Amino acid sequence: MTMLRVENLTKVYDDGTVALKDVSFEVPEGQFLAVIGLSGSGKSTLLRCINRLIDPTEGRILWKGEDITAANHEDLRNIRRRIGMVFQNFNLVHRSKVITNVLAGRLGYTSPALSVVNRFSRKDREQAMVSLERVGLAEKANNRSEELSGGQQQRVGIARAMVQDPEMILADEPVASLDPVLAHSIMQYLEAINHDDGVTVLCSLHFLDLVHRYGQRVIALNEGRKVFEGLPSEIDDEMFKEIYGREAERVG
Amino acid sequence: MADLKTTPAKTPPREEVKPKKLRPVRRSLWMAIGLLAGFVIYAYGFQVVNVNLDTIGDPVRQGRFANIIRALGSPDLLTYETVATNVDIDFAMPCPADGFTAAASEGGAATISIDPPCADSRGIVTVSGEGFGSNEPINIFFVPPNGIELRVAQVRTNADGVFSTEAQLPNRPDEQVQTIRAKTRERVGSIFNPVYVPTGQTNSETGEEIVLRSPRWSANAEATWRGIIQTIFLALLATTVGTIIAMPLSFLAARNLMSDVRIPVLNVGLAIVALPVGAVLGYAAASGGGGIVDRLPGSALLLGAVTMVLVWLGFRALRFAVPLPDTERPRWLRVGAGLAAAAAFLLASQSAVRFMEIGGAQAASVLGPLAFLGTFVQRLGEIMALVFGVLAGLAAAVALAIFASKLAYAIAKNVGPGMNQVLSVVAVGLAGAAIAVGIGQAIAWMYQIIDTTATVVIPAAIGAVLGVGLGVWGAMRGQLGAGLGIYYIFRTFFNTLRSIEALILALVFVVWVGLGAFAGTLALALHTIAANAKLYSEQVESISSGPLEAVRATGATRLQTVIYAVVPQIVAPFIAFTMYRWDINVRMSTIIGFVGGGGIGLILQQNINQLNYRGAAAQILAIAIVVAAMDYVSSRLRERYV
Repeated sequence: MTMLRVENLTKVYDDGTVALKDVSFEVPEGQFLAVIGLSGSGKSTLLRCINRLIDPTEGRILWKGEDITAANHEDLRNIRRRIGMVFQNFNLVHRSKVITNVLAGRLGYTSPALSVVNRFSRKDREQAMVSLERVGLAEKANNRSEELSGGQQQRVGIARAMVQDPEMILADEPVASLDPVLAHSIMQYLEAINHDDGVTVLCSLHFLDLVHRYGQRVIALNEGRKVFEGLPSEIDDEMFKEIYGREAERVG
Repeated sequence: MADLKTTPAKTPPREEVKPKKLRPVRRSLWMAIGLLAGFVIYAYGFQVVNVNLDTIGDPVRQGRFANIIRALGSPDLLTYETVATNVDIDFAMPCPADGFTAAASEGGAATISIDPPCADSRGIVTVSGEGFGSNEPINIFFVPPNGIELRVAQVRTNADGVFSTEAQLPNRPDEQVQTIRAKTRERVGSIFNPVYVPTGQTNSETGEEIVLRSPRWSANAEATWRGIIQTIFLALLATTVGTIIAMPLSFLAARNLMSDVRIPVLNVGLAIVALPVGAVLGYAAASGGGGIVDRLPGSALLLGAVTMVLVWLGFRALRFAVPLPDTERPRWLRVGAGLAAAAAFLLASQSAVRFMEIGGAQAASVLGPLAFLGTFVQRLGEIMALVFGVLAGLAAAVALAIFASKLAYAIAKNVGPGMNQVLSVVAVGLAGAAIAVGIGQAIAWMYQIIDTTATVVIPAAIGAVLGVGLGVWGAMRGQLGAGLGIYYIFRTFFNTLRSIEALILALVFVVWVGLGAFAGTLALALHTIAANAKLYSEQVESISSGPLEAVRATGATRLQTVIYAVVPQIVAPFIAFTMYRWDINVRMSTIIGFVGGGGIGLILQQNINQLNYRGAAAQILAIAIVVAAMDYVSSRLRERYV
């Protein structure tokens, strides 16, 4: 069953930059899709268009048959709360406690009136703790998030996405700010969520070996256009040059 | 790990940037012109500000200046009782035919002599004395037989306790021997060794003799103390009230929060139309609720109980209206419960206000020295009663606007896009007419116009036309940047208000609420709102946007995003700015009394006007101590929180 269908997506920023040009693809339910491309190729814009953090200029995005691009303010809240997002820079609120950052994932389900007085239900709190345990940070729940290391912060970011009970996770370069050893540990959490919970994952990545290891399917962007779609194993040297440009060189 | 490496693209050869070099002659020429311009500007400045050294050199002015500086060194803080010592010598007026020789003067070690020993009416004599204290002020009196002292000279002894002065005598010839008296007054007691001086008067109530401590705080010191306390609390109230109001408003004046608030045209139109309707309904509901509560007997106990029951009911209804997720409940039941909760809270606040007014007054009558606590509660109740209608109107206006926006979403779902556009244009047209009528009414009030054609019909027509124009333009784009509109309105408002100094605001409030610290508090509070809202909103604009994005992505509403992603990032700078503002307000409130705004400035101004520099010195000293202390405390606290 198709989870996500992107049709002829185009994004032109106010300053005239064309970030995405006529991109179309489909993601079946439960797939781990890797999105690759150079910096500035439009990966981040693509992921942010899917949950409308950025409004696309043209094209449609259908999520489980629902048109995200036509959704109003209220529909969008219902859609967003079922799509988790993980960021390159973790995007935690540094001054807040770890548990508060995780609980923020439940905001889409919480009445605005209650969150004014900083209240979450007991169930939400329990779920947040379970989620933190899953990423191995339960004992840090009451620390300030700025006290955590980069890898730990990203695990909190994953826990925040998980308490949303998401059907899909958008991961925007989740390991680009981390050192290579940590990268695998973070990717394994995403893999587990994909494998064990059946959550569809769209993950943009820099390193090709991570793509080979975790991606079930790949799409590649170059200057806003989709230049490749297929299995990771299909990326040969010729394809690599197509994606990364003639001057790129494979190392390692 | 496999990585990819891109060879850097060839960069075009960079153009040599040659520093612009002027030839030495031209450089000197420019320098000369610059110096000349500076000379002219300063020359003109001197003329404009009247730089005048003649007055500085004037010995009279120098003397006055010195007196002021010396007064600062001996502020009027203590009052001493004094004891007078008289040194008398016999004197004859007119001179008897056979001449006159006075007996030696009496008065212990000190003696005075008169030369000549007798004189005619209005004669001039030289009075000399020795054996007095050094640098002691001495009054010379002519004392006729009736004993009434007539002062004829004032003099100060030299370092050896010697004086000599000429004195013109009055026209008081008498056959009997008269007296010339040198009188010295001596302070008694000292700070470490105070003396209790009986006054000889009795207290009319207790019948005990009044005994005065010497030295004791002078009246000026006591007034200074009261003034500085008033000043500190004036600044505290103004800062806290201003801050509480400025904080939520500052979010509306933060560009990063407001710029991406785009709202469908229909929502904007309906919400604007809903605002005045909601305001009227809310105000009416508040007055109606007040009427109901007013019929209850005025017993504090009963009102308190009623308030608690209503609050409890309100919370129950609210819990019902806003259930936890996963609870299914029909929409109409929830809306009904929401309205019931609103009604319960409305009545609860009304009875709470009455409770505070009545209970506060009762408490004040039994609390004795703590009566000010009861009075405070009573005053708070009165303030709330005053602003209650306005607040209720505001709340209802916002609630109805939100409801109108939800209605607009529902309409948009059920009608086609063409119909939606038509409705949008109509709604924005109506909104434009409503706003224009509002402006028309303001103008009518300002210039006292009673012609309704000019203040209602014409503005409505113009507003409707402009609104329809905006509506057509917006309907083609689908959304209006309402956020930026609100941002500009608030920014402009704050910038305008901020440019009016608190002293000038105080002048206006003195006219409105009368002389005193209350006017000063209002002026400072208003200025604090404008100044802090601007500072706060700049803080909000400088937060990191990542967490904002992350919280928005979870499906949080705008309000939730602000609470969870913005507020934690700005708590520390907000505390720092509030401290800083308190510091500024303490300094401002010391001078706000100059224009009638209460506090220590009032006493200071009075003393300066009466040329009582020693009195003024006490106030200046108090201000310096308090401001320095505030400065120290606020900088320490800022260090800790930032």
